[in-house]
Amino acid sequence: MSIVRAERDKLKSIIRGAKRFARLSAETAPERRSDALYYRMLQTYYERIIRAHGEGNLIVAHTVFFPEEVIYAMDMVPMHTEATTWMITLFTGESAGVVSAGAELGLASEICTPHRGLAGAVATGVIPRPDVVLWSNLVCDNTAKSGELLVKLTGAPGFFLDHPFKETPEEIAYLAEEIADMVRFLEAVSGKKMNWDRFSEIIARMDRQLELIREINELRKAVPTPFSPQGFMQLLTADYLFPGQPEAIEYLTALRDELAAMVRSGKGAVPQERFRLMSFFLPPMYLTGFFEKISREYGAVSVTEPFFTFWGEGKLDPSKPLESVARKSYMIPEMRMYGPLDDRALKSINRCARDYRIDGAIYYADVGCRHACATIKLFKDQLAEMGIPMLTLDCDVVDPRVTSEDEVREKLEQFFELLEACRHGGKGRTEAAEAIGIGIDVGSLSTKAVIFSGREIVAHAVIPSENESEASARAALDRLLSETGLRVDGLPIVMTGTGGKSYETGYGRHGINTCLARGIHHLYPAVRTVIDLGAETTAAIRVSPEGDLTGWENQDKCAAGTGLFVQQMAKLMGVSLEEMSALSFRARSRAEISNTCAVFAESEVISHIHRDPPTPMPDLAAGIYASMAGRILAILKRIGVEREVAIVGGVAKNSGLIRILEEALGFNVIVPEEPRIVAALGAAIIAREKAGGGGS
Amino acid sequence: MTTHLTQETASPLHGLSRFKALNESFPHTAQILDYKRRGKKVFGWLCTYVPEEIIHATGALPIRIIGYSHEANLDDATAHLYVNNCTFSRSCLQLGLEGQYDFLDGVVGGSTCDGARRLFDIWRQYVGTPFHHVLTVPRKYTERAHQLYYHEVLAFKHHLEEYLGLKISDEALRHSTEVLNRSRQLLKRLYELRKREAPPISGAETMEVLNAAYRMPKELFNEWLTELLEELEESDRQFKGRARVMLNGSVLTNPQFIKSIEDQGALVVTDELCTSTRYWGDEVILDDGRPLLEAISRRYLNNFPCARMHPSDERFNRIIAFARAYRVDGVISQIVRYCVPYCHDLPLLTERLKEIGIPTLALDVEYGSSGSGQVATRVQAFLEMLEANRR
Repeated sequence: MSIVRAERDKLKSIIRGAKRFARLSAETAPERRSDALYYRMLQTYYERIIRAHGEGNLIVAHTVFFPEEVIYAMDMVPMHTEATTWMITLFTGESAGVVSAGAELGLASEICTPHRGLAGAVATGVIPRPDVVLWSNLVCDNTAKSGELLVKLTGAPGFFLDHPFKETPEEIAYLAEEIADMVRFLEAVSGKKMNWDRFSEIIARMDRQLELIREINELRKAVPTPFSPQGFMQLLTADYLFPGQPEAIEYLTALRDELAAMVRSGKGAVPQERFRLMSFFLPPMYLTGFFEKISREYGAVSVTEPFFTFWGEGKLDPSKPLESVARKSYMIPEMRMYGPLDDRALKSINRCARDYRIDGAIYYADVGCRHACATIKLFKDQLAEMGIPMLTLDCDVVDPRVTSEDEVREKLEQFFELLEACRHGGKGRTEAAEAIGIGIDVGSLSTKAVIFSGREIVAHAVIPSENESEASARAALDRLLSETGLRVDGLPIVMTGTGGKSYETGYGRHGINTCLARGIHHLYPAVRTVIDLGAETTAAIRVSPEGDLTGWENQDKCAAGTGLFVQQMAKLMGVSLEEMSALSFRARSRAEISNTCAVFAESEVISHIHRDPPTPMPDLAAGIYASMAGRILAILKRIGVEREVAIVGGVAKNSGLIRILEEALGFNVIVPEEPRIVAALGAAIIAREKAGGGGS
Repeated sequence: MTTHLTQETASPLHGLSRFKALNESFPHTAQILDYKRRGKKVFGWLCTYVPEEIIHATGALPIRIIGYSHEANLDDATAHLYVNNCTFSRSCLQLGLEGQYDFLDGVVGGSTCDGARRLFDIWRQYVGTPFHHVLTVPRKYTERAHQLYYHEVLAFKHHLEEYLGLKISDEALRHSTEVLNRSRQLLKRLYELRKREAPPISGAETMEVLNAAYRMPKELFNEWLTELLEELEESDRQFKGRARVMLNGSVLTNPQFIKSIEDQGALVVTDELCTSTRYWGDEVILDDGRPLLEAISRRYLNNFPCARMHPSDERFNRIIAFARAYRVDGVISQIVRYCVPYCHDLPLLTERLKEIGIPTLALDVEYGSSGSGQVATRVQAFLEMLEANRR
């Protein structure tokens, strides 16, 4: 593994970015001194790294949740590995480059992007090479193994800090002794001696820092909350990068004072606070600006992050710096998630939910973080017991290729709608007499439109989607109006679907799942679970007895079970979709399609067709449907099945698939006569309500 | 290509078929059901860092928790552990959620790797096993680490004693250690046979023996293995192959996978897996002045290392010693997707092996995979290369 010099200096970009933000903040919100202080802190941090070698200082790379108080105490320059990758993403928007460089080093994709990115950045020389590498096993196997690679890449001396698991006196003592070993190691490699007085000062300041964080956390409990929607990222950075440092104290004090003033005057961070949220894990760095924007749009604020900002109790004793820094490590909020996930850890979720009066929670499910994702269902269930919904957002903290802003916006909007509905339930809906509502669902393959009179569907249309959603919507409308002779002026129209963004109507857009719920409720009020088998995605939703959306799960990274998949299969078999369905009824047995992935399933189907003797077509059709049914069942397992169950979407017209699905479920499902228009119907229902002056 | 004895044509071994028959019912065996019927306890353990002797000394049956020996439907487990956790942890949880491990009275794990750690956490919340315990396992081999781990072993002993309402006597602990040491000695003898130019037992067959070890009383296992060893020493079975291969990497329990490799003509003469040599590895050293419990805890921490341990050189050095002792031509490294510690080690280990002239084939697998299709093709190519190297 060699190191190649590159021209772009990422740290300089970070510094420039920080300066720009500091200036902007001073201009737009001069009363928010804390913001300017925060960006100045970041500037200083990276300037110090850039100057280090020139000033004869050592750069010490270290992993997350590390006791870098030790590094500061010995007057060396810390470089936080994961945070630096985040900062590169945040300020330069160019994480893809360093992540790719990491891949080129041959690093497996199992290694999360913050680590792959950092290794890539070091290898390509876009950040200064560290002189010492420190790492620990907090919080996962990735951090535990990352150091060896960096040591290999840089040739620098390294020390692994073994961080134990449970909060007991023995383990705290073990950690303190490990840290003592680390001090000796640093003394040996640097030729410098630990300055114990400075170390004690740092501990004293760290203790103060924790006090300030706790005060800030108290202030955030206020309704409306005074702290900006994504402000917790700043709190985190202060922890990660500046433990016990004067600039952190200055920042946190200024912040505390600002928040206190806002609370006193009853001011909130957003003009109209509508949704108080609990956050788990980190939102994608490259979407930080977007999250701030959308938070303000919807009045959504993250008021608590149990495993990131909710520090445990305890005082630090400056006269015992080693022991204190070890104790502090156990107070880190994330330790509650690393150590055995016992009731104490879980109860902190309930506590925060109550104390901060949250409406919902968002779990940023980073694909690279295994130990975090394993807690998604657990936390969701924990919150569900309190009646609090949780949204899971698949993402990657640094890699923008995993999910797009559009996808995130759609999911967030749908979630906020769900939260709103939870608040109001089915009450407060008025029926407008005589009024007609129109719903348009713009999908990736087809656009559906419905005219609803309050009692019946007056007309509906299903046409192929055009490239532009606006054109699709207009075309669908035109079709409807030509059929019915109605005039569109003044008629309430609600849009939904993936393409429903750009065509503006006076009555706006609603989430596809909300519309599905309302639509199915009108058609079959007994339905509680709906599976939407669309062209490209599969989703499962839960519906309340009043017709409100109470939860949903998506399967949008996987093609198996979708319309495109079954179309492709039919093509391979050389039959139409209707023929394929009819064939399946004649199956004597079912072909085994073992692969759950559509790409590999395709090659299995091909081998079934070409083997000698070939698998009978009926058996093959049935086998394909069985495989699709398996994928559908997998989503149902995530959301839970409650009867009655309805299947909607174009793929629901496959009676062969439905039969096999019913067998797998063990009961019959409901398939509406025209299964593609249910969401459009729901949109039309909502349109009517809005016209009537009431409703959601 | 030299002809070789395939496993179908090798003369049957009564001792081996006994083990195979036992493995057929999974996860419970006749012995497990018998223990339960007699009102005794069965405790499941998750990692090689859980001291089996402690469980054994209470009179309970220690069972290793493993997953399905095929690529099973893991939808329920995936809903809990999410798609990005390894198929081993999901496969085990799947069995747990399906109630197939309902015979367990307890589950014991260690803070070993993320997959195992979360498997334990989620199991505790969603599978109704009455007793749970997790040991902190340090990642170093220092004296201090030994002390901490000893403390953990002691705490585990106390927790078990409290739960079962008994005290583990020194005699009982001594006896259990001797039984387990005997298993280790016997397994070592079994592996020694594979050092031969033409071993009498294949890699796949050895895995059958190991799988049985995880779910039967060790006393009976020792009896059966002793008889099998006698049979083997007297048999004229000879496995020949195109190249001598070491199989290593993540947790593996499916003998079919090993057979797929051997069907291509490889002689899997040894393996370095937590379900094989990393399990039986070292014996507990008795009577060298240390108190028994300390001797036990030392053995477990010093045992053939998992990739989680630091420094990784400890593991690499042992692998190289193995490779030399078994005169290995090449290494096949099967890494389960999302198995982080092992995939991190792989490039460094590959380099170390390359330095002593041993090439590595890396296989990206799922736990439970039977090794068909792609694996066969790649093993073929690898063997051709190894043969060319020999010429």
